[in-house]
Amino acid sequence: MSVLEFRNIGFSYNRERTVLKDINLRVEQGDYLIVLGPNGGGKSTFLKLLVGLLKPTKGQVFLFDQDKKSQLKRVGYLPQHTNVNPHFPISVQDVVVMGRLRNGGQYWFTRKQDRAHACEMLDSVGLVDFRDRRIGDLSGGQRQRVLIARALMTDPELLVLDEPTASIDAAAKSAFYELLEKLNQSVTIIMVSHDLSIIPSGVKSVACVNQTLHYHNAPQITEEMLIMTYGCTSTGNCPVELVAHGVPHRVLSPHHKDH
Amino acid sequence: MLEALEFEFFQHAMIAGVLSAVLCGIIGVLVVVNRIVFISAGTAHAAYGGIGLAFYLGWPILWTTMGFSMVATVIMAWVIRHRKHRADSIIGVLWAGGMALGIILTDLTPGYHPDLMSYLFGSILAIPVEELYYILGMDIFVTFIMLFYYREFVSFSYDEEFSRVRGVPVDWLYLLLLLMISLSVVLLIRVVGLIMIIALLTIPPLIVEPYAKSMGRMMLGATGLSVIFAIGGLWLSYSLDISAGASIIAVAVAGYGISFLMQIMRRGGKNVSVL
Repeated sequence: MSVLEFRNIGFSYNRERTVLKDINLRVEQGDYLIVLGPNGGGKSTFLKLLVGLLKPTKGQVFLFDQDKKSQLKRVGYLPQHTNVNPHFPISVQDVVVMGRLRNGGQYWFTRKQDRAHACEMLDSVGLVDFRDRRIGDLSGGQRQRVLIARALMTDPELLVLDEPTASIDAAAKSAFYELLEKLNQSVTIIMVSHDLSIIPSGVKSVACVNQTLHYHNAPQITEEMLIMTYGCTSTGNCPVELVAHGVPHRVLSPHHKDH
Repeated sequence: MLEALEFEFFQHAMIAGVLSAVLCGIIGVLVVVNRIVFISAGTAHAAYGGIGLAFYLGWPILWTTMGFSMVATVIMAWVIRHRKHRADSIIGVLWAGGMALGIILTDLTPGYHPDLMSYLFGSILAIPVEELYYILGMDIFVTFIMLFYYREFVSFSYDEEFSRVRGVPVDWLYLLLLLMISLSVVLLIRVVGLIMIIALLTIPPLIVEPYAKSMGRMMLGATGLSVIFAIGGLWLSYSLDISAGASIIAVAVAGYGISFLMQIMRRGGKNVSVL
């Protein structure tokens, strides 16, 4: 079953500035896809089209082989957390319960079973002891894990994450990647990131977005992606960091050396 | 203070203070956590256009102003949704434009003009009994909306994008929020005047925020503080024989100052979150 399909997707603002064009992509169940690309290349637009926050100017998005709208409830979404009020008066548990908002019946109070479920989800990300703390008192890495718990609260079949590690330190990052790898055993994951160091940690495929999309069904970065992203080749002026990360895990595929 | 309570007008002022505290508590918290103080202030000032319109056409002031404010609010909501990067400038235009319209229309109205200052600075001591019922009605309406949609309001106030993806009707709830703000603001004009309304809405939530575990408790706390500020302000106004609206705001600002000092002492000067 395909979890996600982009068919001939194009997107532009005010019919002038083209952000994405001719995007065709099928993501199969169980995949762990990481979406890379330069800033301003359309990564976030790609995700917003996926979760329906933006409508494509061209083409169609399918979720679970069906029309997108009715299937969004099967998607767990973790937005980029830049526009959230850090002083917002809410406990960790209440943030997680938010994930249940449109799944069960509508109640103005929190149901017991929702609270219990939230505890389970917090337990699965290792933060159940923090449930009564205010969300603002947690560290960046802990907060991202709370948001994962919130996304899991919706019992998703597809988890969509927008740059979840942008503001957390290296140690928290690798703990976070371990968690994702574990979750991937039961959930399909699509994650936008600019952190190439994630590729060895269980990622199954890589896509590169810079107006167009290039998909590679293996945890490797191809030369084409490098050219798309950085305008360079692996033999030329590539970012040192990228090659250094790649050495022990072979992020770069070996055939590049033949050129 | 106690002998003042024998006067009927003072009793009405006290009741008005307590009733408006409920509005200030609930609406004020929504304004503060959604960070839409500027929009709310714009609504308050644009409402002056409605007052001028009512004078000019001889229509009932409260209803005309409410209608005018709601139209201005719908325009603002549209601008925020569709021209986000220009929203603050356009709200600034509506803010000043509404006030200019109000002033021009009153100038054009022949004959004696009732005291316009009372709309700018409030006249709680002269509040008519029927307005007490309107404020009570608005209290009940806002409370009911909160009881039924509390979780949705919390959700979109905290994380708009996530709520949209979950299917929460964010645009409609946001419009409802702005309309509730504009109606509350018009009702509160009598209490402290449209210039000072924003302080009344924002100060109690700001003081409570660092201590509140949830938005609901923040609303209860802010309502309680608003009651204290209203009664304290009326007492100050009576004992010093000064303007009631300004006294209420002065007490609120003093309360904010005290809470700020308490925060500094509690945290040893670091991370003061009332700022």
